[in-house]
Amino acid sequence: MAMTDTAPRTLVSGSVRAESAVKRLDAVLIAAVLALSGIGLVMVYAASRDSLLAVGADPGLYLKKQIIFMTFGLVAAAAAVRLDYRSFLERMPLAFVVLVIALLGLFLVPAKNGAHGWYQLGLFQLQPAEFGKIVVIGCLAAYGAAQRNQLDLRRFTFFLTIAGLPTALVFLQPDLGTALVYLSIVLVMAWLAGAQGKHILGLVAAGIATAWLMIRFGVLKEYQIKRLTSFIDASASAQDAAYNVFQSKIAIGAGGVTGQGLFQGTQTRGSWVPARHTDFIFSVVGEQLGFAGGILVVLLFAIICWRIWRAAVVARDPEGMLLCVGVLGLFVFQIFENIGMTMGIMPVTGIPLPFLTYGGSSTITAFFAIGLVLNVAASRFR
Amino acid sequence: MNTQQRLRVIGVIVVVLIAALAGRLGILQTVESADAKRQAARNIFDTEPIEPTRGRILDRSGRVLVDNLPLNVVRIDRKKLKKADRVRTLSRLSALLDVPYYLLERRLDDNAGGEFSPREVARGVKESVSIELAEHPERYPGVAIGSAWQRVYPNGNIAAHVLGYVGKVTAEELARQPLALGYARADFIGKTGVERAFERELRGEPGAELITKDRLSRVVDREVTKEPVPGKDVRLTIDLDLQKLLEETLVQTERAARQNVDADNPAVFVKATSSAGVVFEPNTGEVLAMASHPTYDPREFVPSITQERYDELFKGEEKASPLTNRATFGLYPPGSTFKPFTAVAGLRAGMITTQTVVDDQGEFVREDLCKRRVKCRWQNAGKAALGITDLRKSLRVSSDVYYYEIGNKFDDLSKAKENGIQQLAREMGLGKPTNIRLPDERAGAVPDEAYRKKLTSLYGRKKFPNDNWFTGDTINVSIGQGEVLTSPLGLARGYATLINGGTVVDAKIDLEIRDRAIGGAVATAGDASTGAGAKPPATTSTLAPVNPSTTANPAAPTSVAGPTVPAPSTTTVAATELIVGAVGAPDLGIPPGTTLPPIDAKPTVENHLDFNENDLSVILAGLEDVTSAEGGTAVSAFEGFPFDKCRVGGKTGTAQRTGKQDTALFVGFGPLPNPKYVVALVVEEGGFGRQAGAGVRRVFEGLCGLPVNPVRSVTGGGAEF
Repeated sequence: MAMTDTAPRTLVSGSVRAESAVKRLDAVLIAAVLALSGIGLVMVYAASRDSLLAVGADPGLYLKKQIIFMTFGLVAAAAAVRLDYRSFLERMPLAFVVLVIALLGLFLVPAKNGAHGWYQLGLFQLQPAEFGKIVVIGCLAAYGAAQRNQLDLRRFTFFLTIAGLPTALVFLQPDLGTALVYLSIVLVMAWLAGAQGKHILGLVAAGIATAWLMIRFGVLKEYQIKRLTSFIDASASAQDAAYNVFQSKIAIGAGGVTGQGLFQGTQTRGSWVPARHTDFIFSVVGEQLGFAGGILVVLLFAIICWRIWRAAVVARDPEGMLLCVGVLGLFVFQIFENIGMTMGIMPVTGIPLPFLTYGGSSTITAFFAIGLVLNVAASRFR
Repeated sequence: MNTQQRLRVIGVIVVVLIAALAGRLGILQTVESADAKRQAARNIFDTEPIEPTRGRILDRSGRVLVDNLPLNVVRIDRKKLKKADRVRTLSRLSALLDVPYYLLERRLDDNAGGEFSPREVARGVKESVSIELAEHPERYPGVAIGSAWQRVYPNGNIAAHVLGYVGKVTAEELARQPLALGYARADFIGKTGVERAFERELRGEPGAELITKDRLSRVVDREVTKEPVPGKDVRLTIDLDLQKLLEETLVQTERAARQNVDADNPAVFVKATSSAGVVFEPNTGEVLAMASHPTYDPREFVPSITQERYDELFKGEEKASPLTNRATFGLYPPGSTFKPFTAVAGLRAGMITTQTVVDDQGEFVREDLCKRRVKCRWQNAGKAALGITDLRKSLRVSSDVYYYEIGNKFDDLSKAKENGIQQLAREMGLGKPTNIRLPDERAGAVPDEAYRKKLTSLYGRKKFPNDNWFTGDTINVSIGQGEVLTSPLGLARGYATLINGGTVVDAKIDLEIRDRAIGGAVATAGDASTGAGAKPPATTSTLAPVNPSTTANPAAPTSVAGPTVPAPSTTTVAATELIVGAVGAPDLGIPPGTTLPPIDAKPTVENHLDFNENDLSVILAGLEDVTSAEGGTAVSAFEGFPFDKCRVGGKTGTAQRTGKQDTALFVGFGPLPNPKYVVALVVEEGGFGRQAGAGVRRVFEGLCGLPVNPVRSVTGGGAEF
């Protein structure tokens, strides 16, 4: 793996190279992502049509919007495949500044549902924190590759500081879930960049201590604590987060092996499970498609993770490898947290399930991240 | 650790995490699936009971005495009302229902009788309330609108003691009821009277409804899984018009009695604190009317009564326990009304004949007892000397001395006790329950030595120190004093035994239990067998007045026919036809033209005695003299009564009670020669028995289709009692 490529770089590589790259793209990864996206579209429709009908809206409204998002996502993925990821990484400092400004700017727009999460652009909402995941991955990949295997405490601290600023801003929105996604990205990338085990452990210990202090001194809102602890005993009360998890588990359990059937199922159709087309979409899969559908989704995610991991293994340079591992951390944490939450083994946080959850910013981000991985995997043949 | 190794660690962690997801998914959707399916069903399905419509209570011709009014109720299911929503929801409800917040809260938190069933917080709510609750379930979590009924009394408080009232089932009742009856804590149950005695028939069976809901508790679907079976109607033996007449009469009799002065203390007026009366069919045992005064209004118990109101209405000495049905629960010494039983006992034992005469000098003395310095003198009231007295006269003038002589003979003949007065009185039904199907009957007592010993052993020597039977005790019993106790109903039944020729019949309050759904052509099936007498009463708007010479109904069952009395009519319908009195268009509870099914009027016979026909006729003659012959104790009460149209006999009783004014009693029967009615009337602290006779007279005016006059205050006559 060449560590010192001095050739001049442009952001988008030439068309001839792109053509050859297309032939080298990971077909397995693409197939898995497309299959999941297809399932996602059907489930978004299944999850939303009843509520939309109930308020007299077009039952296909969210489906149509999600198709648009996925189209944008495919375009973003194609762009990610075509660009030169090393020159892309070189532009990360600028992207970082833009991200921080965008996150700071959020505090100037009035809060919605108690959070400063997005910019309203016409019909669509722009969530900087979603795109920020890529920026954080990019920044850490660039710095990590440069300082690889020499991450002493000072460099490790700087490494953390890069990620820490946006993470803190996201946390203050407040969006605890996405902040945790950032943290998991930091952890996995620091590990791969050669951080010492004791530093990593120290970071984890510091995180726990901070969490304890925040709970102790009331920085976390009561509902946030409730959400985080609800998975410990979800059936204890029919209140709020715990109640939602309780109903979600009932939905998935009621699906059984073969499911209640697509567009069937009292739990997800009768509004017992909340946020069905977003955070709790896996409950809809579980109830309507059963274990057969649920395990298929988990398998497809497993394939995606495997292919991302493989891309990291075969990456021709540390930048590519770190990029892939960052995306892997992003996906694995989101998958495990989101699906785990619907089954009551993880706390309740508002984290999207890649390719399934309805939403523009998260869908485009996920596709773009896959594009980067495809790019890295294809670049080794260069 | 080099980079490749670090990558491998990441790979392992990823595999572990994804395997954990797959494993959890597998467990959730196989092992835990059945449980989750149940939970899911519980989420959306709710079973709600459908209250059956309670049966109505009808009078004997089908007029409605107790009906149901369907209404809406508001219930709160506490399982579904979250703590966080509680204050907001109750505040909204309070405004919507116009019920104070604290009251809603109290009803919601009322835990008596089980924690889990929904609480009823309001009933009889307006339609607008129902609509608001149905349209905005999200504003009222856990609140549901349901249907219920409540009792209505088209005739006000008429027959309150017979009908009784319903109330919410109590924890105690729930614990006592077999679970199979399936009462929930919001259910109503009969508390007293017919409502309680016929609870099983009246209630019906609750149905069930399966309700499908979404998360916001909006009802998506309703499906009746079990139809409720409505309660059956109970048709009583009571005649509404006669009942009204009797109740008015009680009030009038008390009022008239209060114009008299107390015989023992001329400085005070008679108190007449309370009274009770019964109209009894002597052959069938049917209770045609039964009243107790003071009374209460069952409407006070609808839908329920507060403790404060209950205390206000019913507590306190001066209120004289208006909830008590004195006709069955009140026990009174019968006094002189007991004399015919002593006479029959004396005749049966051969101690007297109808010809036996006693020279009544106003006093009976036992010299031997005087020497022993115990009570040895028994006097007539006012020590009146009534002269030469035979059996017939003894009844007319109510000579005590005559009966002291009989009592004294039984007292001497200690070995003949088994053939004594008490034995005979019990054989005729006194001191025994009439087995009327009402929850509050007391049997009374005819005391003897065994009775005293039983009381002492049951309740202790402290309360009943006297467990021996002494010389002289039987003398007291002979005139219905000395611990002899009977309810007005029991007394009427005792006279019925005398009049119907010796058959002790059970008292009856119900004619028929009928399905409400049954209308139209029900009755055809059994018509032929009941004979000519079975004319449907409901179709006749005016009932024929009594004809004293009515011939007996030929369709009498043989079991009742006594040897000395002409066969009595036993078809109740025939009896109904004889009931007249306060008319007025019957408010029929059944559609016009409906034929009431024939009633099996066979009475339940407890015992039968064979009386000597001659003896009985002398006794009846003596009793007829009481009202209508010179010197009869009730002649003043029956002054001007048209005996040519309706012959009525009877017996006065003026019973002494320690610490109280005398109890006035009268038992009348008629129309002779084949009496269809026995009327017993008791006025507590009412003075002379003849005043009660004045009340009975008025009832017979109604029974015989005569002009009904107000009850007069019967003064004069001095020594009569």
